[in-house]
Amino acid sequence: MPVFLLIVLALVSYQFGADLTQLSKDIAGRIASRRPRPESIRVLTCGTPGAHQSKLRQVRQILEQELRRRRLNLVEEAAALTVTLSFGEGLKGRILIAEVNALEQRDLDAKDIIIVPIPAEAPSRGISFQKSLLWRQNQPILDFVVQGDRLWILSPRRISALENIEHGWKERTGWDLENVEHVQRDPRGRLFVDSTGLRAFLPGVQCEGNAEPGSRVTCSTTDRGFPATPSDPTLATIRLAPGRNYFDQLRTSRGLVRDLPSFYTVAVVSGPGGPVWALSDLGRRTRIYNSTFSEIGQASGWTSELASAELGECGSWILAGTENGDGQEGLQAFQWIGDRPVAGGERLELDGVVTALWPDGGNRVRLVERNLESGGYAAWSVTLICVN
Amino acid sequence: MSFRTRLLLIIGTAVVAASTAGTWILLVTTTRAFEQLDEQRRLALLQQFWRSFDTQGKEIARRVQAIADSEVCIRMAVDLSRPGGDPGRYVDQAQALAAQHSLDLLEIVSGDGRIVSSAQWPARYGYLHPLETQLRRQDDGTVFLSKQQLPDLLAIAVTAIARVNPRESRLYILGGQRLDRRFLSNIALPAGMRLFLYPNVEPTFSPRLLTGTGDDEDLERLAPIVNSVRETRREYTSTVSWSEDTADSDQVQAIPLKGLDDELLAILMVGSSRSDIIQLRRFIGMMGLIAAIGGVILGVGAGWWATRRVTRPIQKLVEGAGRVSRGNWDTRVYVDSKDEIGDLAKAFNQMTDQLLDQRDRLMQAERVAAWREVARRLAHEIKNPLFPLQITLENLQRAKNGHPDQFDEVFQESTDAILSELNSLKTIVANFSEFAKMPQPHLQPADLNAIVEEKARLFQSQLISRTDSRIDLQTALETKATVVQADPEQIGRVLQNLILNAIDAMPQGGTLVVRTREHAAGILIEVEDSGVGLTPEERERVFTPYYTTKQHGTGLGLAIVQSIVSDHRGRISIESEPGRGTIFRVWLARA
Amino acid sequence: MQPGALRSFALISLMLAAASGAQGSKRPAYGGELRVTTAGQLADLHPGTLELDAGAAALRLRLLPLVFETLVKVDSHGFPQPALAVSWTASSDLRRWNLSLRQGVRFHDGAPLDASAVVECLTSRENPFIVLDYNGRIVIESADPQPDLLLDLATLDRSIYRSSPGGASVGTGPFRIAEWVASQKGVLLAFEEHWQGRPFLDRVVLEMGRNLRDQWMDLELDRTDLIELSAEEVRSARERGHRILSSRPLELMALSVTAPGSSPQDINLRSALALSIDRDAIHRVLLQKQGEGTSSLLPQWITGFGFLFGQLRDLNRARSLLALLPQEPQLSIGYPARDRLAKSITDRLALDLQSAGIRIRPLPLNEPSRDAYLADVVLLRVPITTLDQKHALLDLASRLGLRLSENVDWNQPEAVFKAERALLKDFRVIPLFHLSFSYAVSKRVRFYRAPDIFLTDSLHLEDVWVAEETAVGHIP
Repeated sequence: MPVFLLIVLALVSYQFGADLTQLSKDIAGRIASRRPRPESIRVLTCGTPGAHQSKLRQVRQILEQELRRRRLNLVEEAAALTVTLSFGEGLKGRILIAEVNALEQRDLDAKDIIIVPIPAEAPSRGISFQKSLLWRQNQPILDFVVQGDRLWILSPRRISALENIEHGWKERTGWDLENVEHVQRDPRGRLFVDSTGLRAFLPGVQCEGNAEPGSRVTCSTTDRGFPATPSDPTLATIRLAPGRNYFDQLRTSRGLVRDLPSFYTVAVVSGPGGPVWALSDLGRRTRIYNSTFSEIGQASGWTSELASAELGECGSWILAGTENGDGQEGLQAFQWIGDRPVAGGERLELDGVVTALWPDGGNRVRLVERNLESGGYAAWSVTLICVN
Repeated sequence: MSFRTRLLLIIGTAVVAASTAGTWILLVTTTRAFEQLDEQRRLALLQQFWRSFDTQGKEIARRVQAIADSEVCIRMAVDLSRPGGDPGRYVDQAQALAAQHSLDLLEIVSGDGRIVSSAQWPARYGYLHPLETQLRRQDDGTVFLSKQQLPDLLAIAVTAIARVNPRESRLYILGGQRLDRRFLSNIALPAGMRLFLYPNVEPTFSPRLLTGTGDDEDLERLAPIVNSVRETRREYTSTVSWSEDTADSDQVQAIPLKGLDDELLAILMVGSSRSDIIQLRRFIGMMGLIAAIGGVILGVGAGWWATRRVTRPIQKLVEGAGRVSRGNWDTRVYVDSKDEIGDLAKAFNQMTDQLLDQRDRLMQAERVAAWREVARRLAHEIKNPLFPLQITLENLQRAKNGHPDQFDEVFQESTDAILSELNSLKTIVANFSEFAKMPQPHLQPADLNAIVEEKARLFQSQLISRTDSRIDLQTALETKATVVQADPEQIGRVLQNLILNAIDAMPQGGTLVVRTREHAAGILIEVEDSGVGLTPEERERVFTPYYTTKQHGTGLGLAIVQSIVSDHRGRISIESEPGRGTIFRVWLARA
Repeated sequence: MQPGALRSFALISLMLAAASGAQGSKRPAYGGELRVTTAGQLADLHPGTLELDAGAAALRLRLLPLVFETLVKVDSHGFPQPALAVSWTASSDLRRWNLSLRQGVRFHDGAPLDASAVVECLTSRENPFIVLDYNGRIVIESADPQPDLLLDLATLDRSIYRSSPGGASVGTGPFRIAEWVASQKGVLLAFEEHWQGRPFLDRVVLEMGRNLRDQWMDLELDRTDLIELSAEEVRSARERGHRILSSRPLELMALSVTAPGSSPQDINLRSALALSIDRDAIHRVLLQKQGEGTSSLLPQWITGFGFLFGQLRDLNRARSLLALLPQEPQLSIGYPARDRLAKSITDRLALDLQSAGIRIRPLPLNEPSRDAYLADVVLLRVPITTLDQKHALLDLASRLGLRLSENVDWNQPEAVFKAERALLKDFRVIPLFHLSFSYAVSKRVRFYRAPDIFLTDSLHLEDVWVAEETAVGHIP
C-alpha cells in the first residue's frame, strides 16, 4: 500500500488564521479522498518548542476537525494512516509539511509529499536613523533625559541637569546621590523626568526628587522596578537586581512573570497575538516570548542591547545591536513580521561600544556610547525615521 | 660351505660386529654430548630473548607512563571528565604523541572503554576498545603481549597500560611496539642459531607471517611445529630439515607466547643448526665403516692364513677319504702336526691299513667260498650224470652176468645212455670251462640298440616258425644314441641268454619285450617276459651258477650274464612276481 | 525527524571568531595589499571557462565577481536584485524581457558599458533566446517562456565582458586583472572607476596551489592575509584565536557509485551501504562539528525539506539486505589522494561499513576526475554554485552524473522535492555532508560591511581594507 506523504508548504503569512486554516482543510480533503478510505488516522506534530510549535498545534487542531467533519476515524494510538506535521524553512520561505504514512514505511520513495511554498513577506518599509550628540563626559552616563533645552544626565553617583546655552550644553546644577555606597562595575541605571519630578533607578536603589535647582534628591533601597516601555508604562515593570548589572524581575499587571531568566535588556513590540517580548539573557541569547511569556524562539546575531520604538504607521520596531565582521557594533531596526523579526533598512554604524540603550518613547531612543580610544562616554539621541 | 669359509665368515662377522658396536657407542655418546650442548645454547638464547623482552617492555611502560603524565593527557582527562567534554577534539592526539615518544602503537581510551584517539588506526575513534575489560583489570606499568587490529592486518605487540586519573576520572593510555623483526634484531645470535617469530593471527598457518633472522629458508617447513604448538599450546621441540640434505636442518624449540587471558598470541622458535652434529656423525660413521672394512679384510686375511694352517691337514684327510671311497684303499695321509689333526691322520692311515687287510681276507674268503660253491655246484652237476652212468654200468654188469641174451640190447642201450651222460658231462665241463675262461671284455664303443636289433632279428626268425605257444617278440628302443663302452660280443651273449631265459619262462607263449632306455649316466636294457615269474627265493639264487629252474640247461646262463655285466661295471636287477612275468634290467655306463 | 523548525532569524549569518580587538572606531583606509592563498588553482579567470575540479570551481565562484559582473545578482533569499541592469519588465507570457542598463558603468579599459556591448557578450554563446539592443535597452525574446531568465542572467557564466584588442577579456568589476600566471599567481588591481566606488585595497595578490599545511604556516608567519580552511581545522583555528569566515553549508560531500547496476541485488547493496553510514560519528569528530550530516543533495537551509530524506543508521536493516546477496560484498572507495579530510572520512567509512558486513578498500586517486573509474565508489566534493534550487540541482545532477527529469515545476517546492527524490531513488549517489567554505583571516584584515559569504558569490574583497598596524588588544 503506497504511503503518502503530504507535504504542504503553507503560505505563512502573518495573518495566520485564514491561510493556514485553508491549507489544513485542503490537506484534510486530500487525505479523505484517498482510496481505499483509511480506516483510522492519527495526527502528530513534530519539532522543537518554539513559535512554530503552537502554530503546528493549531494546524493539527484544524486538520483533525476537518477530518472528523469528513467522517474519518481519528485515534490516539497506532492507526492505519499517520499524518505527521512539521515546518520547514528554506531560502524562499516557510513550508508546511505533512507526511502521511500508511504503514510502518520507512522508505522515502513510497511517501507522497506535497510542498507548497510560502513566499516570505519582504519588508516593505525601511528605517533610517538620525543621530544627534548631546553630551560627552568622562564619567559613565547611565541614562539621560532631554526635554527641550534641558538635559539630565544620570551618572553612577550624580544626576546633572544641563541647559542648552548657545548651542552647547552646560551644567546648571547637579545632585549627588547618597546611599549609593558601592559603585559597581558596569553600572546601569534609568532616569525618568516628568512633571512630578525626577526618579532615578539604580540596582536596588531608587532616588527621587523634584527637578528644581536647590532641591534635594533622596535615595533609598528598593525592590521595585520601573516601566519597561515609557510609551506604555503599565505594560510591565522591570527591576535591576541589587548589586548587579542585570534585571531579575519582570512584572506585568498580572503579577511577577515566573520562570523568566535574568536579562540584560528587554524590548517589546506589537505582534499579531499581542506584545512580543525580546529578552537578552545572561548567556547573551536573545529570547523571544509571546504575550503569555511562552518562549517562541531565539534571535542570533544580536548583542545584548535592545530597545523598542513605535513609529506609528510604520509599525512597532525593535532596535537591536549587531556586530559586523570586526566586532564593531551597530544598530539595526527589526520589525516583527509573522513570527520572526525582519530587518528593515540600513544599519547604524557606531564608533564605540554601547553602554546604554533605552527607549525614549515614540520613535526615539537614548544611546550612550563609550569611545574606546578616549574612554569617554557620549550621549546620543537617536531618531528612527520610516522610509518607503 | 667349507670349514674355512665358515671360519672366515665367523671371523669377518666378529670383526664387523665389533667395529659396528664401537661406532654405535661413539655415535651415541657424541650425539648426546652435542645435544646437551645445543640445549644449553638454546636456553641461553631464550634467556637473552626474555631479557630483551623485559628491557624493551620496561622502556615501553616508561614511555606510556610519560605520556599519561604529560600535560596534554591531563588536560584531556580533565576536559573529558566534564559533562560537556567532547572527545572529538582529541582524535589526532594519539598520532602526535606516538610519534613524539617513538611508539608504534598508541591508543587513548576513555573511562567507558571507547577509543578517543588511535595512532595506528585513526578512524577507530568511538569504537569500544577490544581490550577494554583488561584495561580496567591491569595495573599501571603492566607489560603484556596483545593482539592489535590494524587497518590491513593483525599484529602482535608488546603493550603497556597507564592511567590518567586526575580526581577519579579515567583515561587509559595503551601503547606498545610491534613484535617483529626489529624486535628480534636486538638479540645477538650465536653462529648456527636462528630465531623465528610467528604471530598467531590467522586461523591456518601462513608462512608469510613468519619473521626470522635468516632469509632464504623455506619457512613452510615450520608448519608442523607451529601447528603442534597451536594445538597443544605447549612447548614443542622437533627437527626441521630445510632441504634434502639432512645436514641442512635445525633442532627447533617452539615456545608459546601468551597474552592476557592465556590466549596464544605468538610462537617463538629457537633453532640450532644440526649440521655440525650430522657431519660429525657422518664422519664417525665413515670411519667406522672404514674400520669395519679394514678389519674384515685384515681379519679375513689373517683368518685365511690361520685357517689354512688348520684346514690343510683336514683337507688331506678329506682327500684321502675320498680316494678310499673310490676304491683306492691303500691311501695314506701325511700330516705333519702333533695335535689332534695329526692323531686323526694317524688313525686314518691305520684305518686304511686295516681296510686293505680285511679286504684281502674278505676276497680270499669270498674266493674260497666261491670255489666251494662252484665245487659244490660242479659236484652236484657231475653227480647227476654220474648216477645214471653208474646205474647203466651196473645194468651192464647185470646183464652180462645175468642176462647174457639181453646183453647186446642192454649193451646198446646202456652205451647210448652212457654216451649221453658223458655228453652231459662234457657239456657241463665245457660250460664250466667256458665259464672259467670267460675272457676280459674288450671295451669299445658299442651301440646297444644295434646289438639288440641284431639279436631280436635272430630270434624273431626262430619264433615265427613256432606254430603253437606263440611268443610275440617286441623291441622298444631308445631314440637317442645308446653307445656304451662295452664288448659287443659279450653284450650280445648277455642279451641272448636273457632272451633265451625269457622264452623258457613262457612255455605257453606270451609277450617278450626288449627295451633300451637312457637312465642316469648310462643305458638301461630291459628284457621283459610275461612268463611264470619267480618267487623271492628264486630271485635270490637265480644268478648263482648251476642254479636253474628249468629242466634243461646248465644253470650258468644267468651267472654268465652277471659275470659279464660285472666285468662291464654295470648292474643287473630282477623284478618278478609269480604269475606276473619277469623283468631283467641291465644297466651299463655310457662310453 | 529533523524539525523544519525555527531557524535563525538573522538573515545575515555571520560566524566570526571573537574579535581580536579591532574595536577601535576607525574609518576604513584606502590602500594596501591583500594577500590571498588558496589550494585551488585556476588556469585563468574568465567567465566562459568550465571548471571540472570542485576546488577550482569553488575558487572561481569567489574570485570571478571581483572582476566581472552580471546584469542581475541574487540576494540572500535567492531573489534577483539589480546589478548592471537596474530594472526589468517582462511580458505576461514571460517570452519577452526588457532590461534597463545602469548608467555610468565602464569597462576596465575605459570603454563604456552599453547595450551593444551587452548584446555582443550575451550572444557570444548559445542561448535559448535572442538578445537585442533596442534603443539602449536590452530586449530578450524567446519562443518559450523564460520564467527563470533573471536567475540565469545572474549566473557567473553570464558575466558581462568585452574582448580587448589584445584578446584578453575585460570586465566591469571592482578589480582588474593585472597579472595572471596560470595556476600559480594572480594580481588584481583596484579599478578606479568602479560604479560603486574604488575598492579600499590597492591590490589583491593571489597565490594558488598551496597545500593547507603551508597555508596555515603562511598565516601564522604573517605571510598571507586570507587562507582556506578545511572543515576540521575551523574549530582549532577558532580556539587559537584566529578570525574565521564561514559560509553556510554550500559544499556537498557525497559517495557516487561509478558504475551503478540496476539489478535488485545492486540496489540492495547500495541501499545497505546508505543505511550503514554513521554520519554522526564522522560529523562530531572528523568534521569537528562543522557543517551538517545530510541525505539530501541541496542543503536544508536552501530548500527547507532536506530533513525529509532522513539519515538514520540502521545496521539491522542493512545486514538483512546484505544477507540477500550471494556473497560478501567487497567495494573500493576512491578519494582524492591529496585531500586529508577525504582520506580520514574514507577510512572511517571503511570501518563503519565493515561492521555492517561490507568489505571496503580505500583507494587514493591522484587524478580523481580522470581515475574515478578505478574505484567502485568515489567520495566527491561538489560545490553548490547557486542558491536557486533549479540551477543548483541541475548543476549537481550534471556533476554527479544523474539525470534530472524534464518537466519540473520549479516554482513548486513539492515538484522540486520529487525531482530531488527521483535523483536519489536508486542510491547511485549517497549524500553525506554539507560543508561550509571557511577561511581564516589575518589580524590586519578589516571589513567595511559584513561579508555575505554564505551566498555563493564573491568574497567581497571590495569591502575589505587592511589596517596599517596590527591591532593590539585582548580577546574578550
